[in-house]
Amino acid sequence: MRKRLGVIGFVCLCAVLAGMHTAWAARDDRDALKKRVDRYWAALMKDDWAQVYESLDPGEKVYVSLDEYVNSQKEKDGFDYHSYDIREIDILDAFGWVDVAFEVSVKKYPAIPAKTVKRTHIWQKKDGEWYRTATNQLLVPWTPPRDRLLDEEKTLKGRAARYWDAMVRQDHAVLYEFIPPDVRAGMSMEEFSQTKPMNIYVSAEVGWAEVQRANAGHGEVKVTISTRPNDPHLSKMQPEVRDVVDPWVKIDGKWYRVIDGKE
Amino acid sequence: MKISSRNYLFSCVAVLAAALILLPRVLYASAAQDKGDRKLQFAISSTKGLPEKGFWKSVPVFEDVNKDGCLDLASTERLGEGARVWLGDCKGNWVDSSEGLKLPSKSCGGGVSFADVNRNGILDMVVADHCLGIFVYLGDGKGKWQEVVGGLAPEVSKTAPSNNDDDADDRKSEKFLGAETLAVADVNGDGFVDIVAGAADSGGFTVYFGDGTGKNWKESRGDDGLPSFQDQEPGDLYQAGWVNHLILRDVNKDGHLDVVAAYYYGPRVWLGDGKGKWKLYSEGLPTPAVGGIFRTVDTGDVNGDGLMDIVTANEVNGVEIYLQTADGTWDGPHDPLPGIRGGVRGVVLADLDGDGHLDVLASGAYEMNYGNNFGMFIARGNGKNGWVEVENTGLPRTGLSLDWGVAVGDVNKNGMLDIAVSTGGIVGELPQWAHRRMPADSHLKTMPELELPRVQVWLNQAGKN
Repeated sequence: MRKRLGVIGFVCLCAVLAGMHTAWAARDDRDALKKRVDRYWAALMKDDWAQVYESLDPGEKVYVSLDEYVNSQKEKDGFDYHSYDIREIDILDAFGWVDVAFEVSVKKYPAIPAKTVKRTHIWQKKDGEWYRTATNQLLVPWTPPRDRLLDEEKTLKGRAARYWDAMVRQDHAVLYEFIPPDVRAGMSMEEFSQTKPMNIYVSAEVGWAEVQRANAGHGEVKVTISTRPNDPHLSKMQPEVRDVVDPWVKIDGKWYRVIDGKE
Repeated sequence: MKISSRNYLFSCVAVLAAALILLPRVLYASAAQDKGDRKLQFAISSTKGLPEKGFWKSVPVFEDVNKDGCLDLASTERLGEGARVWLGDCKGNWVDSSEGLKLPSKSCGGGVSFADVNRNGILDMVVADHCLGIFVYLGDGKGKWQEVVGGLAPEVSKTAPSNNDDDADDRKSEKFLGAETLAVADVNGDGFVDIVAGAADSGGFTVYFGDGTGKNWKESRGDDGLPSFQDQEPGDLYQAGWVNHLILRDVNKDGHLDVVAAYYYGPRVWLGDGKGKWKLYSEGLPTPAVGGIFRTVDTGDVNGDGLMDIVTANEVNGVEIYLQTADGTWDGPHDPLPGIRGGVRGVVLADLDGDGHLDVLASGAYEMNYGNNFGMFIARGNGKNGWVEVENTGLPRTGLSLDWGVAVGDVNKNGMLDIAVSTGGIVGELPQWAHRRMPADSHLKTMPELELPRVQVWLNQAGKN
């Protein structure tokens, strides 16, 4: 009996430690993000464009070198940032949502008094470091997790993965199931099978899904697709890789991919 | 060891038998070396006289312009002065002979062709210019030229409205003005040389009937069977579109010349009736999702069935062969150079190795890359539509500027076909951001240009082996 109690106690201790570890990791993540955000805002207030550049997403830095960025910022009549206040930080997976209020004025018109502006900035964790997403904001989930339906997103992501897998395999029978019922009513499976898609999908990788609490019947899924034209005379064309955000709609408890704006 | 006479006799018989078995094989191999297996090797001809710079946007043409028994060469330039002729000396040396060919304004490239348009026994030159239309030059037989017609263009270029909302009113006619390519021959059986021209932008094909003077050209009516402004398909945004390249060949062996073209819809054939009318003969030829990807065409019987087949240069997928079938359709595509990944722009069929079978010569990009990434490639044919890529030909596999087409002819009279290629154009460079993004072991880079003329002649050394 004493032995059994000892085992149970050990298991409980492990669970508590694991939970604490997760909590500590989350706190560390939050602290790390906050430090980066502080450094970013401090740099903005000092016009330290090299430090601002350092905070930018590596995917964006590919298109502009440090010198190009610094020079372009110096040439601009931009803004003066006077103060900032981090109101809330929310983290889910590799994304961070930072609610910030800052006092800003226009350099060119110093007589106009500064204004307080509230924004939610999105940060992404890559290779263990947080970076500010500045330009590719359409390709990140815009809503913080507190305003989303995370369980629903899991379901949607699973559906989307199945859909895109069928798309790559050109499995018309499976794809047909993903067409919204009202659209499907006007097109038989045979008719659908005979439609020739414009593109061949060489690969597709489903990223994040977003379902906003305030708009629970609609969702978005980010997919990285690799395509080339569905034409034998263009078969040697290099596949084009691009990110897309797909709209989905929930009908009678099931998620369907929106086709050409039709639900 | 002592060899008995019996063993000695046995050895002699064995050696003799082996010799009898092996000799035919050795002789066959030798003959094969002389024929199909002959090593194909090319070397650059003298570069003196040929242009070092310029955008030679034209399929080059070999012709003995001055009737000295040696092939001469012609091409035409974009952003230059117009067409140029270089006289050959049968040794691979070239002398510019272009007096009289200068255009009134900057040329845009296009096509060139030779024929005796005024029936004086001397070759004349007809030039298609992408911007300015068609020019006719009478030759003097010694390499000088006199313009007798300039800016010949279809009537529609003066009157036609545009169906493209993007076109400004004052540009409406320009889209019908230019000519991208042409071929000259008597197509209506009146004994005079005619011009079949392909549009640079819109308008499809225009046929001009000659009267034997070289100065007067009567435009064919729109209902001649070739696509044109007057004879366009409903909803055709390009109003019959452009033609990258055309040739006149007797495809169905009825004694009349037919039009074979790299039309913007795809490769196409129209059978001629010998009276200036044409009929589409293209069942089985493709219409890809993207227009204008076929750059040049050539014809020849590649599978030995006695029917003329088509080879065409697909700028994306490479060389495509379409076999003519007995029922009048086309079977293809067959790819004689499947290793090519970057597409081709020039292609000809010719027996380059002298084995009696047609080979494929293509110019284009073997691999996808940036810069001067173009070269020339050969597939040896076996006469049965079987192809083997020839490696180490001496032709550049990369390092040429943008290529516009290839031609073959026996320049040095050694009995083997030599090659001309026109190059020059704006080539894309590897973007700076791509440098930062791609992995260190990436093969992508901006290829430098080889130090060669932009119009080159490569001499076939096979006869020397």
